[in-house]
Amino acid sequence: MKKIGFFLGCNIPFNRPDVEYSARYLLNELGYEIVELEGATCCPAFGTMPSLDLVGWAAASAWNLTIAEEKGVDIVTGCGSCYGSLNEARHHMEKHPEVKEQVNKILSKVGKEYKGTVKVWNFINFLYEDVGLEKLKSKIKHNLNGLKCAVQTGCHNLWPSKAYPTNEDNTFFPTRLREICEAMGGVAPHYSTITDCCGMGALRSTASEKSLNLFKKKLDVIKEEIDPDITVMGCSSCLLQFDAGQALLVEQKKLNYKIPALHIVQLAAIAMGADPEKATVLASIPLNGVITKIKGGN
Amino acid sequence: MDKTGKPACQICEKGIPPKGIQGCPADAIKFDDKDEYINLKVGAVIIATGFKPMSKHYFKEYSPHSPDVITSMEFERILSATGPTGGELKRPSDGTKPKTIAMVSCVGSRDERYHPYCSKVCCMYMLKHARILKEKYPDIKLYLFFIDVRTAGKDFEEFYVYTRELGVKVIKGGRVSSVDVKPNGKLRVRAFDSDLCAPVELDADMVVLATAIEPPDGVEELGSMFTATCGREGFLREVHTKLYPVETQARGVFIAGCVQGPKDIPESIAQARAAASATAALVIPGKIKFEAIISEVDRDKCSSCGVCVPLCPYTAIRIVEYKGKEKAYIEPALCAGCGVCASACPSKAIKFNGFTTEQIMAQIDALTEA
Amino acid sequence: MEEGGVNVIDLTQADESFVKELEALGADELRECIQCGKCGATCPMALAGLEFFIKRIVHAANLGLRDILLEDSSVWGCQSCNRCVEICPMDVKPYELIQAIRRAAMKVESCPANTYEGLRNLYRFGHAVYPKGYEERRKKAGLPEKPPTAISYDELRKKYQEILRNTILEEIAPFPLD
Repeated sequence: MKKIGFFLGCNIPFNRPDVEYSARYLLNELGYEIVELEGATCCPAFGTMPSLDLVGWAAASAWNLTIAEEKGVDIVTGCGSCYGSLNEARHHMEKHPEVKEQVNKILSKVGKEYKGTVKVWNFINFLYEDVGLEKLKSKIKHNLNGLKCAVQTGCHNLWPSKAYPTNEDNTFFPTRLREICEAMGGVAPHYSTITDCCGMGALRSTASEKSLNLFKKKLDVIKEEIDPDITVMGCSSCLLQFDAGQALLVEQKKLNYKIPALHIVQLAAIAMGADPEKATVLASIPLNGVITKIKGGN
Repeated sequence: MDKTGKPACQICEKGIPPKGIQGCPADAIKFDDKDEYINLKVGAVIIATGFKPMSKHYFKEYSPHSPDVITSMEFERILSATGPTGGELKRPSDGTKPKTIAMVSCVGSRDERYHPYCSKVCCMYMLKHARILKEKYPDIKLYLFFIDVRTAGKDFEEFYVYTRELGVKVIKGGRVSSVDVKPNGKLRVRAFDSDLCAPVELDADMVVLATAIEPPDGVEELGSMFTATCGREGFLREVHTKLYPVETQARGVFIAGCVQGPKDIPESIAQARAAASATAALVIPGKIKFEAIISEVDRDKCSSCGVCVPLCPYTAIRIVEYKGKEKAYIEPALCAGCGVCASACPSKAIKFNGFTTEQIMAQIDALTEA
Repeated sequence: MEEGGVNVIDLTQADESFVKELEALGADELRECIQCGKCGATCPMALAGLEFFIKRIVHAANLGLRDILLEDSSVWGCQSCNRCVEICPMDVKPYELIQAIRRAAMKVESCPANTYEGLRNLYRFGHAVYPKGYEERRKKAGLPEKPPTAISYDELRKKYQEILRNTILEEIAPFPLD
């Protein structure tokens, strides 16, 4: 049985544990043994240690990376920021041996050493490469039945590409998440703002209204160009914006339609037979129609 | 015919009988002509290969997969009466006439990832394309995206102002950030407009990329055949920007046009004439003056080891028969007087005129006497 | 910009040493920028309408406008999306400049309150984002009340805190590290 370290981050276990539930269900269904990364922390988020200095950032990331190294597993994460922060820190240490040396000096105080052997996946690339679309297809219990999906890969899952172990052929025209949805029986057309930022993150905390307006502009384009049944995320921060952020816009009467939003691991878990109630229990935008459509398929 | 894989139309040979058009009446074409190699012995060579326009496929942020995103060179063909559309303005994807066109400058030029230099001619030909279009189709909407508008020199700035007067819209400080394809076939162009101090976006029917002028394929190999060297950017390098602009390191080898670097037609012609003059000055007298400071071989001392031959950067040393033996010979017309061979010769058989051991020792003596 | 203030930026107040400080803090390619503008139209800060966004920030930094940049909160609104790094034709790595400015701002305690909150959470709980009521949410999703992260392992969390105490956080943190 293949082993994989599941890196939780913060938003998934604390704000959207239904994504954690779904990811665990999905990994089990796909035949992976989940190795718990006990003691793992925040990646760290870009507004914290990375905004103080490079060595502090790398040391905080290396703490997490060494947990996986000690267990001899690679990491998969459902959060774009974690994917970005961990991989960028890894990239900096690889490129600047002096940073790695300083980090190891700090880690040695708690008896740890960062070697640089661990690979950090996001769920998109993990499903696309490590699992593979054929295997994914073979595990589907409920075909998505033509469900129209608007995908949101998420900025951190694309750039900076030099820091990432694997990536899209064209990061400005991402297709992997679309292909994953289509492999499960959905329809996932391209739309023109597919690589636009959702506005969640530092922008949302610094200028909330501007952040939501930016998101609304993107959502309007999605509605106008492809009018999907659902939006599908590759990143948990994007999910917070597409779901809770959207609900906020509706509440503020700035939006007169609703499009349900799910993380790809939620959608895949449901397609593989997870209890939709548990897998989506914290969604703010109601999903009823979507679940019926999936359940209607085979 | 070989290139396109299609059979030749044979109009010049047979004419178009139904329309009463004859084949070439002067019988001026040899239809049975074949490719052949011709060996020529020449006293000088001018390398003028021209350039290669960069392909759009490097620029993934500009949706290169869309057929309606094309390079300026392809656009030039669309505008041409002998081009694929017979000079009619049509979108490659669906053959409709575009109402709005965006032209993008500095695609691959002024770009550390590809070419750090300015391709020099793009600003002007973008304005030229805009002027041609606007004069032919006054209703067409044209947006030209520049970093800076570079129209230096006599008549060029005037051309720019005239083009603006035609109603062409100019966006500056705005290297295009992205081009995205919309489901309705439009292309959304995003750029920053420094004059508006705001990001702008535009739905265009076609996007024309002014891709960089690149050195042609194989120019380095070609240059090394003549011992002419390339600069960092891959163009053949002149000896001196101001004093020897068409000369290369290799004597008797001259360069003209874009093989030396991006330039426009007037400049290329001026340079070509300079190269022709330099060639004529070398060849027409029938005699060559050698430099005094060159190396020569004392062939009686030469041990025929051949060490000097590959060392010469100017391929001036050959092995030739002398008194029944193979000995080194330095072609005085090619020697540039660098002295590498003289210092390397194990038999001390090469004399570097002006810098013989005796002369250098005398200089050292004179210096150390005081 | 101050409400009702005069809209003129005084270049004579520029501080050339600020450029060097930022270079030392990680923005080492800053001066290569030719202001081509390519980053300006896909930067989320620019699209959302923040006063300063990446193109303007690079220029202001190059001019040495320390006070303006440190007083403005825009840099804290950067999404770290790295699209600017991906497309910059001069390899200026604009995002690393944002971090450099934040690092300079932290040194003079000029940052939004929520930045400190994130750092405090990171140190105390091992999680920068640590929202209330998560136990209830986890139960709803059929999961144990606490995730198997540092929050569940006091010993490991203490080790993590020791790592953080050995970084620059020790000097900068406006809260006690004990």
